[in-house]
Amino acid sequence: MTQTSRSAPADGLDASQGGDHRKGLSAGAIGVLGGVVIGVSTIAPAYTLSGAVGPTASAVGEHLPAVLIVGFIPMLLVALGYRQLNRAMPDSGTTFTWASRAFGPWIGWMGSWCLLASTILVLSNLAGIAVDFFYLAISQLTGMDWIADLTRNVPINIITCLAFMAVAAYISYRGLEATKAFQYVLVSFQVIVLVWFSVAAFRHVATGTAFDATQFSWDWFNPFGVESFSAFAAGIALSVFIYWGWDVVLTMNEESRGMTTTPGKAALLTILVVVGLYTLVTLATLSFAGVSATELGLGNPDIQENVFAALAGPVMGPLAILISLAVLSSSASSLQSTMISPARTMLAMGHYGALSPKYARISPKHQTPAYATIVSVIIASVFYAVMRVVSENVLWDTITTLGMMVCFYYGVTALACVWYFRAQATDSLGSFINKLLAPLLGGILLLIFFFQTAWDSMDPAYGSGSQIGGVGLVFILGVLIFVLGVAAMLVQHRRSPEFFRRRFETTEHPTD
Amino acid sequence: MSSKTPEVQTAGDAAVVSSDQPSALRRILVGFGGDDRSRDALRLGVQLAQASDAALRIQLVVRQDASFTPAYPPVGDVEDIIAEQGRGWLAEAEDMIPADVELSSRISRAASVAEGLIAAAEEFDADLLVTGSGVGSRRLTTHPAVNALLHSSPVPLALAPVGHTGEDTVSHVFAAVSADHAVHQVTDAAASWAEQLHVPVSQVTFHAGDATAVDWPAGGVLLIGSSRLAGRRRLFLGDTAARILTQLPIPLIVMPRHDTPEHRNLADSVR
Repeated sequence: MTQTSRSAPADGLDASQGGDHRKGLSAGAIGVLGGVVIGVSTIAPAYTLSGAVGPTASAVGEHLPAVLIVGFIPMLLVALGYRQLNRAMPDSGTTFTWASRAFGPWIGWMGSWCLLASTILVLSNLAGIAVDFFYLAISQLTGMDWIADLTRNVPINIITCLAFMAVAAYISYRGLEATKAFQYVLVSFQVIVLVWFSVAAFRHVATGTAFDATQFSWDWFNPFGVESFSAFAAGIALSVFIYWGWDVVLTMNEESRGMTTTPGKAALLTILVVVGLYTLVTLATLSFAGVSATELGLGNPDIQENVFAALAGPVMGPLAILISLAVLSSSASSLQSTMISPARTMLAMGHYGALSPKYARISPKHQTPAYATIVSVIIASVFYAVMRVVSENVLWDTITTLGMMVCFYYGVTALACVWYFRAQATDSLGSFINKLLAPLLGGILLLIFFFQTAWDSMDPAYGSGSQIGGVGLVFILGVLIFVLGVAAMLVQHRRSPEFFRRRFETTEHPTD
Repeated sequence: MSSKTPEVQTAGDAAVVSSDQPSALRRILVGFGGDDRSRDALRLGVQLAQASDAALRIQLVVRQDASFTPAYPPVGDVEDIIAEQGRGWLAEAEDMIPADVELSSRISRAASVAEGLIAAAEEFDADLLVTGSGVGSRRLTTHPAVNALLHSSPVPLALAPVGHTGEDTVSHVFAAVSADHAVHQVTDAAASWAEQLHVPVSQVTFHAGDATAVDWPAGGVLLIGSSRLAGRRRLFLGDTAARILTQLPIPLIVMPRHDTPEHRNLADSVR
């Protein structure tokens, strides 16, 4: 007869494989270059430029480069605060956890709702852009022009888009992971193609074969040249969307992700690469196409949803297929990394009792939030299908709404940082800048742009000019998302009020 | 497919077990993930632990995020939530274990489940690692972690067939030997297992990996060696063994290759 001795499960982790994730770092270590690659892949420059250059140009015209550079400032300020919060509370749910901790459960819930809404909306936009380029690429490969027009066929477009999202959801549910080599190839390919595109565009300008050769002017870099504050705010909200993603580098913890250098270095380099790339491409596009409302002009509403689809052929000739492949691969990979996020946010919310515990269900086989993944992809699919039917400019309207939402939740998170660290802000000059001044300025700026854009978007002529009953569609979408959020929050409060009653608890680390 | 009946011969004397050959069962590690296949594995682990008086450890591996698969927007760390859920699964697992089995359970984190289980097996000094196979009723797919283990585990790996009940006591040890190698490492291991469990041992030769022609007794287990491709002291499931696995209604135990001079030369030539 054996003796029965039952040791309880070791709480947490074995000492041997301990909490020290740095064991076996050599395999998964990320140097500065790796950090930059991850940052650039998350920003997905090819996809972002294709989707956002048109709408931004329509708002600020030839001051595009100025707005792109200025728009980065609030992002940078907020990201500094993000980094502090991430060091203090690395738990899942980021905005949700942080805002709940700083401002209590109600604001935390709403901030998190906006984050969820933005990520779910961007899923549909990513997949939508991918559909355009999917058919364009096939048409370029086969030389059959009619295939490129399939994307204009609403049922075909919707079915293809839903198929893409379903595949992405499946990959995310299975927990399949991208390898280092895959990301390096993808990012290099995007950068090379975008630079190539720019060089080709400049060459057309030089040889006089450009569509509307526009003389370079330093005024392009003057943000005060933008006609009105409304236009400027709209441009900034869009540029916030354009940069959405670079802060991933700052939130990589040395401990959990095996960064071998300070994330700060990688973040700085990522900024330089991205801002440089964006400036180059926008200068090239402006010089080549101008901002007129004719044919290939950036002001032409017919091509604004997807500028590269229209410009690739005229600029690169037979090599236009490279642009299609770059945008396609960039949106597909971005779709993948964005698919993980809302599911995990819901997982955290379900876990803390801010959503039904169903959302905290984890698939034992793959250790992924299965239920939350399925829910987010269903919402994204329904949203896309409805929008595609309602609006002719679905992608444009979605991007504009997204810019607003991102402004809002970034702003709220930045202010959460200020409030959370209010007692430590006077410890040192570094603390004062990182924990109070930078996030406060960034948060206020972003919220100003948010309210200005929200106000302007009531105008039926705003953005793409989509409207319902004399009110701009972007405004309606924004309000609808908010109202739905408040309703969902109240329902959750009725169902299980505990989360809203108790003080939000999470793991907190001291930061210096 | 050859329908020739496999030859089954019962060994007369159990081979003398040298002390440096650790094929006795003292510590058994079960890889557990909270799903049905894990429960198959757990039942097999208990069955073997009861037969051999071995200590049983249940190991749950929480997978860490790959660095190059960032979630965007960043959502922080969900591993703690998954680990907490894992503790719940482990508690359920412990309730399945009869009181006469010496039991412990652990949670660890690793880049992949297979890596985590190998590290845990080495740390526990396990003589056997048990997982569910996910293969059965002619299905070929296994869990990715099982697949990785089948080609890299340094400890013997026992695969529970789908729906394994573990109700029968272990009654018979079979050793799969190939027709062209009379002496086989598996023979020794099977003999020492049989001796420890006080059950008969038989050698089985398969033709074209056809395991359907044998009338496998309930309570039987089949030991099979690794392919010659296996690295030193590692497992590698050969083609024949993979075919057998898809048809076998009883647990399959894959043994790693021993470090023999002959094998070293082969491994070098493969490289």
